[in-house]
Amino acid sequence: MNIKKEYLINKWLNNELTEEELKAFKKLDDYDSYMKISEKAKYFKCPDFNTNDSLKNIESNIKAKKSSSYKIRYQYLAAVAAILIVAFSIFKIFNNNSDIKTFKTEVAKTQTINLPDNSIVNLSANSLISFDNSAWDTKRNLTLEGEAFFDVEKGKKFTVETSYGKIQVLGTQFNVKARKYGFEVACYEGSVQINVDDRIYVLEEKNHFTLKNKNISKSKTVFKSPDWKRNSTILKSTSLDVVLKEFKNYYDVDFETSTVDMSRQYTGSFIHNDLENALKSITLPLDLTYEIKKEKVVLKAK
Amino acid sequence: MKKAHSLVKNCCEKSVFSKLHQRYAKDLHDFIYYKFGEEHNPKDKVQEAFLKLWENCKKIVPGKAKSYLFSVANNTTLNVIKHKKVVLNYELNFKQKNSDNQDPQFVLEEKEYLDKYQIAISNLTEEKRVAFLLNRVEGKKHKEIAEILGISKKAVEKRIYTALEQLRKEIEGI
Repeated sequence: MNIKKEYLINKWLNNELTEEELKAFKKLDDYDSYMKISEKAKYFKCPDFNTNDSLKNIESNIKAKKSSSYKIRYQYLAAVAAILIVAFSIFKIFNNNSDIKTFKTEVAKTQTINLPDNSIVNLSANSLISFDNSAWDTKRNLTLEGEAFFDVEKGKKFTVETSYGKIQVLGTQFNVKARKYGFEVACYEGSVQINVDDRIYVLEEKNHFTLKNKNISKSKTVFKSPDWKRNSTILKSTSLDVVLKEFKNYYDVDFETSTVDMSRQYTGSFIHNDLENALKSITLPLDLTYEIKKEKVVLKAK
Repeated sequence: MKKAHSLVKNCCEKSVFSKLHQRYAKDLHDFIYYKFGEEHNPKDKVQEAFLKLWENCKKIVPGKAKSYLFSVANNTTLNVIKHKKVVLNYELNFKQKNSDNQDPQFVLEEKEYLDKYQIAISNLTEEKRVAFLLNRVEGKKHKEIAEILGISKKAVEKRIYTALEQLRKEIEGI
């Protein structure tokens, strides 16, 4: 009987009762109970599910995911870039420490610079030095355009780089003149080593090194400091052309020299703080006249 | 439809995907609801499962999509809950429609009955609850439920029948 009952119920549950079976089912004692349970189950129906809405949501999500995956990729790239930048800057800080200091003097101005190791640089007029401040402890290295006097404290190798070559010292006083028209080094104390064109010259105390037209000459000097520090320029057998260029480092003037032979050699000196006096110093020995016209000096043969 | 599906290698085709959705989304939703209750947001689970299907569409042939969807939805929900009692809400508004001709005592009795029913349902094992409610509420035949759950028709029949008897015992104290 129980088996029959279960059979009927299962058939009923699956909506497969034949008419006869339905009659038999209805005659079961618990028919009402089954019906009630079945009926009331519907109260527990899940909320409506809208298939269209669901699909729309999913589709918009797929689109959003697509674009967000690109975003993630960009974010990833940005992160990698940021890491590289940070790594690079750290590398820079610890390796290069590029804290380049530059000092420049105008025409007729000089400047005294104290280097990190208490070495002193006296920068002549119209000149420029630059060096890596933070690397100074490991590498005493600076570049020079123009003229400067160095009083170097004893220590590691001290290098001055110029467009002509390198000057290396351990601790001395020396002057370097690296103008476009000439290269001179004078040593006042100790000795310096000059590297020019793959050749090394050693300059002893009170010696003077001149590179002129690819010719190297050495001479003695009696002075204890360079001429420019004594507010004058001493020139030996120098063409007027170069003399005037040198002159222009100390006086803000232009020359009108169309009638003058610029290749004439001049030996002598001019001072830096008196224009008329300086002009006389140059023109008199060469038998020239000068006329000052609004920042322009006209030189003429007598 | 089945033939058309077998010709398609995977579910990446948009038309295939939306057909799969049309076909399985509601069942999936109902299944998740009756199994885990509303608390775990069956609609979201459906969405998650279909998104996952789309992500992996290249690997899944349409014939396998259904079981894939159900196991994904099932697993993601299982990850959230572990053997927590599921209490399904009954719809109170249902009653209020005909509340005019219901005397207070009837309403009270009805409420009492439904409360008992609610407890009884939550006392069913999840397997029995899903099968029973899919059958009685959603009107699904044994065969359909067997397909959804991936079990035999006989097993479905057994689950529904025992669920019915268990409910009767608990509610009516037989």
